[in-house]
Order: sequence, then structure tokens, then C-alpha cells
Amino acid sequence: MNRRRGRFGRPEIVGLMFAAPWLVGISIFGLYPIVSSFYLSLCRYNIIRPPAFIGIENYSILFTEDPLFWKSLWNTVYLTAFGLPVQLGFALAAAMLLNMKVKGQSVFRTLTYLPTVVPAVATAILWVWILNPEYGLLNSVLRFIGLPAPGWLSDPTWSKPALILVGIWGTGNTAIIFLAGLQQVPRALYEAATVDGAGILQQFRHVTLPMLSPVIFFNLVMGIIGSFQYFTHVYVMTAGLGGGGRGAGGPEFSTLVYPLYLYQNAFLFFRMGYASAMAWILFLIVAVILAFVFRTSSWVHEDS
Amino acid sequence: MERFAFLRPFRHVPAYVLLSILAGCFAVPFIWMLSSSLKDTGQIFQFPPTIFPNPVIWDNYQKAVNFIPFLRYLGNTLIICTGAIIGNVLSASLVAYSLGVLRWNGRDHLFKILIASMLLPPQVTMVPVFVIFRSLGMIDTYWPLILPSFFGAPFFIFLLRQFFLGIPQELTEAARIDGCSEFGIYWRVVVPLSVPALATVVLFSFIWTWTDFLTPLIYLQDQNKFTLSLGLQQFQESNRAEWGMLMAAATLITLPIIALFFAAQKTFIEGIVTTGLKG
Amino acid sequence: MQTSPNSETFSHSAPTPPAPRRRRRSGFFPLISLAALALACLAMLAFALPGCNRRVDPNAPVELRFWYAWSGYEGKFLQSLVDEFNATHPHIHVQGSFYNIGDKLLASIAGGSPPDIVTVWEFMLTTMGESGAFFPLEDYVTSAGLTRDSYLPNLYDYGTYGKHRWGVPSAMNALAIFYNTKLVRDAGLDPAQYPKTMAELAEWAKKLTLYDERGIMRQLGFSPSATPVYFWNFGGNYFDTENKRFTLDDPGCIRAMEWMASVHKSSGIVNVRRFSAGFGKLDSPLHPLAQGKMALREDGQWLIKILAEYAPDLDYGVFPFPPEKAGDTAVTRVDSSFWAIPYASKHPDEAWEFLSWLIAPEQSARFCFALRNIPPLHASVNHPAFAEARKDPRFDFFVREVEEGRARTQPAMPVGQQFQEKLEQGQDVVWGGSITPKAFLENLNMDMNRQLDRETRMLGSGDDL
Repeated sequence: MNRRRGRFGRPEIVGLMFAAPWLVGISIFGLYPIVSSFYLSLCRYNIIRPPAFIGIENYSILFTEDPLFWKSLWNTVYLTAFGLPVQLGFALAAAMLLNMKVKGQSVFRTLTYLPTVVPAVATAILWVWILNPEYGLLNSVLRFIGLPAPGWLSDPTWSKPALILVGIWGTGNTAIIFLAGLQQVPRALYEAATVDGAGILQQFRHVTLPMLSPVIFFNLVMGIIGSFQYFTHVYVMTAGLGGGGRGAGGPEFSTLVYPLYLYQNAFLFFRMGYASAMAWILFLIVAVILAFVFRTSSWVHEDS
Repeated sequence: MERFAFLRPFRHVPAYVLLSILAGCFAVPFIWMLSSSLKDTGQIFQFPPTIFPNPVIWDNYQKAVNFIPFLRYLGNTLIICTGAIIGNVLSASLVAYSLGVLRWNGRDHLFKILIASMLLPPQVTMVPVFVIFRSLGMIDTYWPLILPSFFGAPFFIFLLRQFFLGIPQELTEAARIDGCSEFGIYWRVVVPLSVPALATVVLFSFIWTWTDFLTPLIYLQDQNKFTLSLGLQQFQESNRAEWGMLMAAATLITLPIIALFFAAQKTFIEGIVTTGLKG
Repeated sequence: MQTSPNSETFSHSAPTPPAPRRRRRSGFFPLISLAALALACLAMLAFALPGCNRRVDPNAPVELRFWYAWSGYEGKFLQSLVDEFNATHPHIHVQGSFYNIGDKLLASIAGGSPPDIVTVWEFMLTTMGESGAFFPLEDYVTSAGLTRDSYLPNLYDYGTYGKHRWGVPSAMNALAIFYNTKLVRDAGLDPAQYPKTMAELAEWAKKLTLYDERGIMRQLGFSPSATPVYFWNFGGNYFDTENKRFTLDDPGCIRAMEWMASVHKSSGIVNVRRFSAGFGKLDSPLHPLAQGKMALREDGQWLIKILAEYAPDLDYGVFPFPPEKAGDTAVTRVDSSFWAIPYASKHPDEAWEFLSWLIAPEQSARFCFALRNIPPLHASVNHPAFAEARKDPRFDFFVREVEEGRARTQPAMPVGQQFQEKLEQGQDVVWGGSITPKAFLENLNMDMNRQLDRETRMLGSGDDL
């Protein structure tokens, strides 16, 4: 089996043949679109007429003339920067609860995971109703406790926190992955820590977190990706009365996230070239953020 | 010691309290959905709201099923799911065989590219892919929803590769010595051994296709071709504030998935909980 | 390239791959049976999917697809007209279906196989027409014998931009202010002495907005939305049709915007939004006016039918929009959705044959009567099929506003879609107070004119079709 490196022979041909479906797929649905998207981003293109080359005009409009571009970018950054840590923290806490050795744990695990299989559209519609300022469940509970009942999706200050809240309901996946990570931490480490006189908090700080860091890293990366393609919930939850995708992203554009604005430009305003420019910027932003995350990943414990 | 044995069942009380709060947070929205779906307009807008509908109104379900039209969209969704499942199972297992069982130069590089490609948001390629399908005359057909799965979804390839790595090499080697072709080994040795992993692929590709919204939104325009997710969203657009009906419709489209989840819970939870996380 | 649809939800994670479990199966899958199964499924799919091998029968009627935006009883009535057409025109078969106007239409037109007749909002018509989406109808309209005199005042040019007519108006709405008589009286106001100036209207709005003891809004007085009708009544002109320029910085427009902002401010915009989140769709018992939650509402005459159906006991009336200053002439707005023929339609002649039947005086009168809308032609408004509607003085009031020339239409503009979106969503920001009405309109004006420039630069004058 010790074949020399760098040789190209029969095994390589067979390997490539088996990998062919994906190689063809990534070329047609990955590489070509990225290149093509760059060309389209330099064009004015409404898809009915052929693309007309206009140089960097789309980019200059985006950066200098379109406040909604910045607004949508900010909204997405907001949901990533504030929403993601909250959701990861919640998922971790849930995972630690679900890791306790008690009877009936499988019931609790099931309930935690269940919301993640609910179709996104159904989740969105359900939460519009829960978040209804006057008749919704959440505000009824808040009023009952004597807390202020915000307008949630109808109030620009509260609309993004509302979306984060909906996200928390769907953190079951993340929690279950954390749980799997927790279960891999050797008991001996905790016992050793107890012998050293470490309290619960210290155990968490010095045993749990480091041992869990690869899982945290994984969830962080997946979370960033998820956040930069976050679309369905806002599209459904904030849609205007007009319907047909119009008016989504309100109130006051406070939930106009980047993928939604991109979609609107492409499929509502007929500006495919402009949308392609946004797509390329999205591509670069995600690449830069991920590069940064991977570069600064020295905190990830590479033991397991 | 024995004297306090009766206290033993209570030592977990704090844990149960916390767990119940947690599970409650996840469960209450479901209950609210169900309960609202059984209320008439008067009860819906009752203040303060009640959890138990009284009287129980089943009309909402009947209205929702007729309005959506539920059965037609169910059929559409199942067609697409079937296509996507076949595509995903066939293509992902082939590619995973190449990346997990076969040994060849460049394999690991390819695997890294595969992992990297999982990180690409679909919005980046959305417009050109739409243009591709348009030039193929496939807009407003199911092809754009099915065809891509025949080209290997990175997530499933990854999943199957991890599984294939665990198949003992002796088995494949033995078959190779017996003169089996590579395809023969893939088909007669690896695939039969991987039924549990393939079942996971089937399950997840079913659920993702069922819940997918963006792709049908972009590609399907004729309302007779809508999927359940898209149909539900269109239903919502024309029936705002008819919360009883909306919740009934949402319940209907969620129920099959939940039923499936409970039926295949072993594949699901066991699979998820025993995650290797070799990412 | 596929990414799991699931990972785009905000749960920030993809489902986890299960770990390899070593479970040996001695089962042997025969290659052939699985391949056959796969093939069978594929074949099934190929049948289920719309194929391209439609058989062509020379005697078969031409199939037309017609997308309309009316659901419920309105959709049913329109469908009955379609059936009637099919019965009397054996060489054409129209298949009607309901859709929400918006992204579906654009994707369908972009996709290359759109329906043959579509319904669009007025603000989309020119934008889409000028970008090549629709078939120009001016020759058809002329050949149908429709002239300026056939149309009610101000309506002949409605939907025409430059020399092209991109669609025909379907059924129209004129705007006025509906009031709930009881709520108005309860506030000590007299409906007979309805507001004669915008300042008086603002005063009514304030007096009619009520809060309960918890500080929660109980009744909304009036919530104007930034429609042209206010610009016009403040003497503002926001689009110069002659030079094809936006003039949103017109002092009249700014005063109108400031007036609307002040009305929202005095009701408390945050409360208005919360309150409005409870509103349902408009053609239902959940209409805020029908529920007695709103005292005044700007709306079209179609609401009369809704109220008759869902709130038969509601005591209400209608008054016209006031001008800015007492004594000035007030105008209202009439608007309509349009029927258009997508450029990619393979049967534009047949599509027009259907459309011309549908907009002919009799059909138009019947359709508009069923919807309590206003038909655009004199012959329809005076048609016996429409007479019944005009017996209700409240309804007749709207018709006369249009008939007597007090109603204007939004000018056609090639960036109407963007203008509508930016105005609709931007107004929220103004009411929220984070930008002044003046600054908002000036920015919007600059922005829209820039887009207009680019549009005309790129499209020429739209003559290259």
C-alpha cells in the first residue's frame, strides 16, 4: 500500500471517477456560479435583456449611495454578534442540564431537539402569533408577571431581539452537539480536579471549557455560516401586508438582513447584477470572517 | 444509611426542576400552536388568553386543508423528497467511497475542498444558478429542487465518509483479492454495511427537502406545483390574523415530520448524541 | 453546491453526523433490484414533472394561463367570467389562478415561461414594461376603438409611459375617508361638519385616539400613509411628467409629509404599530373599521362591500380628503391594478382577445359591480349591470369623484417599483422620528432621480423592443 506520493495512475483515475458526481456538481453549482457571479456583478442585468457591462458601478452604488446596503449588513452583523453568543450560551447551558444523570432524560432531550425539525415557515408563523403585542402568548405572560410588554416585531428596537428569541427556540441541534461533546469528556479529569480542590465553577472553567473547545469552535463556525444565510424567518415573519415578498424587513428596515436584501434585489427589483455584487461582497465577508476565526483558533484544545 | 433510603428518589429534584423549565420553554410554543388551532376567532382574541380551547373547534383544520390545498402540496412535496433522497443516497455514497475507502493521491486535498465548500452561503451562487436553470428551461419545474442532489451534497458525503472510515479494511481488501471490481466492492460490501448511515442520509434529506423554503420560493411559480412550506407561506400571506386557521395549517405541516422523528428516533437521537464530531 | 436548508435557519448549526456504528449486516443487496428501483423512481419523477413532450393537436384550443390577484368571492366571480369566456370562445381556453403579486411574477417572467395574462400593481407596470417584461398594448387598444373619450377623466393615459401602453386598468379604487359614526359622536364631533382642512383632520385624529387606563391604545383615530393624495392636497407635485424628473423636494410635498408625521406623532407611533399588529387582512371581519377599533380610515369604495358583509350593523359614512387650506379644491386618488401580457407569451393575440372581452363595458361593469370597484370606461359606469351599485349614495360619491374629474392617478414612471418600496418602508422611518420629513424627501428625491438617470441611460427610451 505504500505508494509513492505524487504519482498519477489507476487508483487516481478510479478515485476521481467515484468522486465525479461531486466534482461535476461543484463545478456547475459552485465554481462556475462564483466566477459568473463576479462577471454579472460588473453588469446591469435584469435577466430579460442580456447583461450590459458597466464596470464597477454596482459596487460604487452599494458603497456610496445605498444606505440600505449598510443597514442590511449591520442587521446581519448585529444578529451574529449579539444573537450567536446568546444562542451558543443557551445551548451550552441546556446541554449541561441534559447531561445530568437522571431518569427520563431522553424525554427532555427529545423536547429540546423537537423544535429543530419544525419547518422554518411553520416556526416563523407560530412565532409571529406568539409575539403578537396584544394577544400573543409571550406578552400575556410578561404582563402577568408585571413586566413591560414590548411591541416585538412591530417595534424597531425589539424586532431583532425577537428574531434572536426565535433562534433560541431552534438551538436544539447546537445543544445536542454540545451534549455529545460533554459526554466525551473523561470522568477522570473531573475526579482529578475535585482532588485538586476545584469547585464547580473552576471545573467548568478549567476542564469543561477546554475539553469542549473543539465543539464550541464547530458550533461557532456553523453559527456564523447560518447567520449569514438567515432568510426564511425574516421573509415570513416581517412580510408586508402587500404580500409577494414586498415590504419584508420592517419596521424601519430593522430586520432587513443581508440575504433578504440580496434576494429582494434579485427577485423583486429585477436587479440581478446588483444582487450579484452583493453576493460577491457576502462571499468576501464570510471568507474574511472565517479566516479570522480559524487564525485565532489557538484557544481550541487540540487533544481529542 | 438505610434509614434515609426513602429520600433517595428526591435527590434529583433540583435537576428535574431545571430540566422541566428548559423542556417547558421548548414545549410551550407547540402547545400554544395546538391550542390556538382549536379555537375560533372569539377565543383567539380573548383576553387574557387561555391554554385550553373551550369549546374545541375542528373547523380550522378543515378550512386549512381545503384552502391550501393540502393533499396536492403533500403529493408535490413527496415527489421532490423522493427525487432528492435518491439523488443524495446515490451520489453521496459514491463520492464518500472515493474519499473514505479508496486510497489515492489528492484524496485528502479533495476532502478539504469538500469541507470548505460547506461553508459557502447559497446566496452567493443563487443568481447564476437561477440563470443556469433558466437556460435549461427548468424554471417552474421540480428539476432545480431535485437535480443538485444528484451531484453530491457535501454534508452527506462527509457523513458517509466518516462512516466508511470505520468499516474494517480487511473486508474491502478481501473482496479486492477475490477479484471484485471497485464498483463491486462499493455496491456489495460497503453499501450493505452502511445501511444505518444511509438511513440517516435518507432521513435528513427528507426533512431538509420537506422544510426547504428558499429554493421552492425561487423556482416554483405555478401554485399547483407548490410544496407544503411554500404553500403554507402563501396561505399566511392571504390569511393574516386568521390565527386559528394558520395554526391549524402550521400544525398539519409539522405533524408528519414529528411523527417521522418519533418513528425514527433511534436513528435520529442515537445518531446525534453519539456524534463523533470529527470535523 | 448544496448547503443544508436547515442550516439557514437561525439555529446556528447543522445537524450532526452520527458516529460510525459498527453493525455488520450480512444482507446482500442485489444490484439489479436497487438499480431498477432507482430507475422506476426516476421514471415516475419524469412523468410527474411537467414534461416538454406536449402533444400538439391543431384543433385544440389555444391554452392561456391567466394569473389574477383576487381571492375569495372576488376570485370566484372573476373565475366565473373566465368560464363564461371559455364557453363562448371555443378556440381559446383560459386557465385562471390566484397569486400574490410580487416576487413570483418576476421570477416567472425572468424564467422565460410566464403566464399569458398577468395582474400587476400600477407601480410595477411601467418598471416592468420598460425593462422588456410586457407586450406593448397601444395598437391593440386603438384597434379596439378605445379613445380618450371612452375613458373617465384623467384615465386614458393611465399606465402609458412615453408612447407605450404596458397594460390596461382592471378595476379601480377611489380613495376617501371612512368614519365610524358612533366613535366620532362619542368624541363630541359632528360627522356632518367633517374636516374641511388638513389641520382640522389632524385635530379629529387626535381627539379620536383613545388609550385605556393601562396606557394601551384602545382606539386609533387616524393613521395616514404616505400616498400621493396628501402630496396633491398640499399642492405638491412629486413627479414632473414633462421632464421625467422626481420633484419630491417640492414644498407642498414636504408640508404634506410633515403633516402626516405630526399626526403619527400625536397618536404615538410606537403605539400605533403595536395596535396595528393586531389587524387582520382587510377583506374579513378583522378589518379595524369593522371591529370598531379605528375611527377614521383612508380607503377605497370597495370597503363598502366588505363592511356590508362583515359588519352589517356598523353605522359609518364617508367624507372627501380636505385640501390644505379651506376653500382650495381637493383631489383624491384613483388607482388600479393592471392586466398585462408578458412579452414571452406565445399567444399575445389570443391573450388580447380574452383581455378585450374582459374589459368590454358589460364584463367590466359586472366584474366591478361584484367587487364594488369602479370600471374605467364611461360605458361601464353607465351600464345597467353597474346601476345597482350606484344606488348606495356612499358608493355613488366615489364614482362621481372620478366621473367629475376630481380623481388623479399616479404618473407612470420607470422606477415606480423602487419608488413605492422606498416610500412605503421609508415612511416608517419618518414616523419613527429618526429622520425629518424634509431630509427624507430630499434624499429620496436625489436617490430616485439618480436611478431614473441610470434607467434611461441603460434602456434608451425603451424603443429597442
